[in-house]
Amino acid sequence: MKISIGQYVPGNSVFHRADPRTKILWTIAMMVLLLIINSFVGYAIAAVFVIVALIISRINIGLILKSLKTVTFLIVFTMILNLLFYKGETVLFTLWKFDIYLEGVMFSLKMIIRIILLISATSLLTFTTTSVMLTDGLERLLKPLTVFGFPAHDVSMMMSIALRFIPTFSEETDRIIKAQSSRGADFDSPNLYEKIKSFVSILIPLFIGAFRRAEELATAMEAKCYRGGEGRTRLRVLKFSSADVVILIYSIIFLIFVIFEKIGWQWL
Amino acid sequence: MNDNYVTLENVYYSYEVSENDENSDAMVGVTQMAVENISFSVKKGEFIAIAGRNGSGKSTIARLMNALLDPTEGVVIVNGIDTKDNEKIWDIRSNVGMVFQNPDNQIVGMSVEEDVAFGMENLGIPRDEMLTKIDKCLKTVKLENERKTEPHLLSGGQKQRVAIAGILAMQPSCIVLDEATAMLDPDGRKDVIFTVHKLNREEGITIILITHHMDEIVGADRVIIIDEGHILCSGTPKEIFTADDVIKKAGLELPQTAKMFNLLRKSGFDVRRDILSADEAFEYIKELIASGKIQRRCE
Amino acid sequence: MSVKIENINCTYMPKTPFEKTALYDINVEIKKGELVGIIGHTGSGKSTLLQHFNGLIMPPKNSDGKVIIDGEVLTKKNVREIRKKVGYVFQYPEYQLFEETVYKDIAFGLKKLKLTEEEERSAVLKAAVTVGLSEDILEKSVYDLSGGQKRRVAIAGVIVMNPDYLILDEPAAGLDPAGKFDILSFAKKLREERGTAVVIVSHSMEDIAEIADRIIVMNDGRIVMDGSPCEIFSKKEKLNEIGLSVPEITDLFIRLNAEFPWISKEVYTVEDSVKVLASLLDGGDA
Repeated sequence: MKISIGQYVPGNSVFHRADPRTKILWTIAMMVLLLIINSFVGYAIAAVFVIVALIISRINIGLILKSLKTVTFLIVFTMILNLLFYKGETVLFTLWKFDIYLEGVMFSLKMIIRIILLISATSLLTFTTTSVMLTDGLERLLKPLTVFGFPAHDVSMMMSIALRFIPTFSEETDRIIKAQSSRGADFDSPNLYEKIKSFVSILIPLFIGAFRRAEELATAMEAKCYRGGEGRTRLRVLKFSSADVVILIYSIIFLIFVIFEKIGWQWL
Repeated sequence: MNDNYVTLENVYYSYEVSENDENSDAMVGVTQMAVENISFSVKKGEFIAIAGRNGSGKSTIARLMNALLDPTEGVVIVNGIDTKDNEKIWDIRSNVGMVFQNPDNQIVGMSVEEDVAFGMENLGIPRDEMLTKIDKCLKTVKLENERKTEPHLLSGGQKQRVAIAGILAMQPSCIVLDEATAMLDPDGRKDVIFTVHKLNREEGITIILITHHMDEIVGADRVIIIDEGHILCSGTPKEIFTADDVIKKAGLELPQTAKMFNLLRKSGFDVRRDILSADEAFEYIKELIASGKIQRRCE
Repeated sequence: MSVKIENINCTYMPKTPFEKTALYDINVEIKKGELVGIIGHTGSGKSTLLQHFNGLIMPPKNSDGKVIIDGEVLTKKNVREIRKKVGYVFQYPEYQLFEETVYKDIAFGLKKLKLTEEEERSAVLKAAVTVGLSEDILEKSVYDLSGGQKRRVAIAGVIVMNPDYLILDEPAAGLDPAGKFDILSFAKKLREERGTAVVIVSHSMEDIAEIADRIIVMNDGRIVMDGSPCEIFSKKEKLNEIGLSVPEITDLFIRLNAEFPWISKEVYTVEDSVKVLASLLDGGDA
């Protein structure tokens, strides 16, 4: 059993080398810009930028398609809703009680493109960044919020411990499932009650185990003088490098394109 | 000023548990004694083994020694500091490192080097110093090739050695191993025991090894046998090995060769019982043959 | 009456970079009433092999690998029935307990059998007594018990099904000597009283030598030795080659025998050793 969070794909591209903070900000910027863009020309430009970025980071397009597959339902659902309920002016045809408008078709097409681009852009972050780097990046980015009492260090410590224990828990789950099926638990039973009961037989020991581990881990951390984020030094440090400059320039170029697209090319 | 590093004086530790009351079915608080009137001290550089069955109170003793628990009565002094002194609690903890039983539940880092760094990060050690220390400590526990490895890919014995390296990096004077070998296979156990002996010998680190495997106490300077929160007896491994009745009472078991000599002695044979290892047994039996005490007999 | 493994190969995550072959062409048969010790390094394939015995791992499709229990080939359809015959106690089974009371946890497997309340009660009691639990803890919560007691509850939850074959994966791991002794003697008793075949995985040659009448040695996914303790322990070099050893006491007598051939080397337990030396020593009560 293997659970991979973020499905990190090892590599050495500009995107792999860049600081996680840059990549998180890049992703957020992409999201915002994609929401601002509202024309097919704009989407075409965005698509070019995202695809080029994917090619640069040597991410297999197949992987992107795979992550898109998991949201197929969302895409189809949005499309149908928009087609049926969007009220425009030009009626293309009527389906049962619903008028399908040209504007509706256009709008849902845009929505789909937007979702696909959003997912591709965010995948770029998770495909090129290990979960450890991601937590680190988030911690540093959230650090200014400590002024308002936001526990940035604690949140990131919890996240990284959670990540560290994923393999342990996945092994444990596997073992508990096997042990309970050896004792006659029926996980494939069509009977809903049976099914729920057998899941309880996994969840209870799993939870109790998690608490036991948490307690022991807390003791071990205390014994190693852990006392929160204050006065702590770090082995992992984040440093901006030339890779970040590359991404920054790349983002600025994209931003310029988007601005031009928004305010119109006639200014040129 | 004496050279005792850890001293326990008339230490009691009790805790409250809630239990169903026999008569009223309500939950009532019951005081459970974990250790009662324990006194002993450990000298700087000494290798002490504490042995006892599960639930005998030996883990409580371990936790008293680095202020994870405060004694209910009596005092625990570590390096001249009373462990009840809350201001100096971090001095004590950085001086007395602890290795726990379950290798999985004491590793924090996402990789070996990160876990070794964890304690140093807590102490605020500069990053450059961390890097050199990680190198050195991983070499000491012979894991220098696993620096970047994810902890869950290591064996139990390797994980415990990572934990030891992480403690070493904090430069402690004393390491307490709280049943650190109980969940390991024989190879892992051997590696861990070998490592702590090396640390004791080469770096002068005081070792307190808590275990229920009697073969692990062989190299210790002194052994304390605990049962039901009391010290049953203490002495050198040789003295302990001849006290097989006490050992049995404590729910422990001698290694096979020692058991054999003790049984022979019980059936009235005049043999030594303080044989610690198979090698020693081999030499001793050869002596017995040379002296004619053991000889070929006709059926 | 036997569990038979025929031509089993097992590869984890085939056709991926993580591919790892755990078992190579295994053929083995465990007969009813045997007490078999399985020994080998961590990662030698012991657990993978044992999980075939009750269908937790099925032989790969399109292979001639088969598991035959009492003459019946194991399939997806009969696996549930087979699991009643082949009990499996995992490592650290106390971490798998989940019911509110000891009684309920032990009775968990019986629920499917549609027994009357009395039948169920007597089965639970019998299992509890077999592992050395007293009746008065049955209504307690499992979380109020000591580690050793919890483990016995977990084992009772498997033997309550009255299996013909019982697999114990390192049943004594983490227990102190007294706890270990209890578990090993219970395994022996179960075989003697019910004729159950017991398969014990252990890292301790000494423990295996005490109780097993057949030893299977595994290394790198293969069965490298299979025989009586006497046969296995006479091949000290072969064991050493794969990083295993004979029991401490056996090793001592093999070394003595090399210098003094009149000292027997067929010593596998402390009891044996005392007998041998007592017959050679001066004095004594006997």
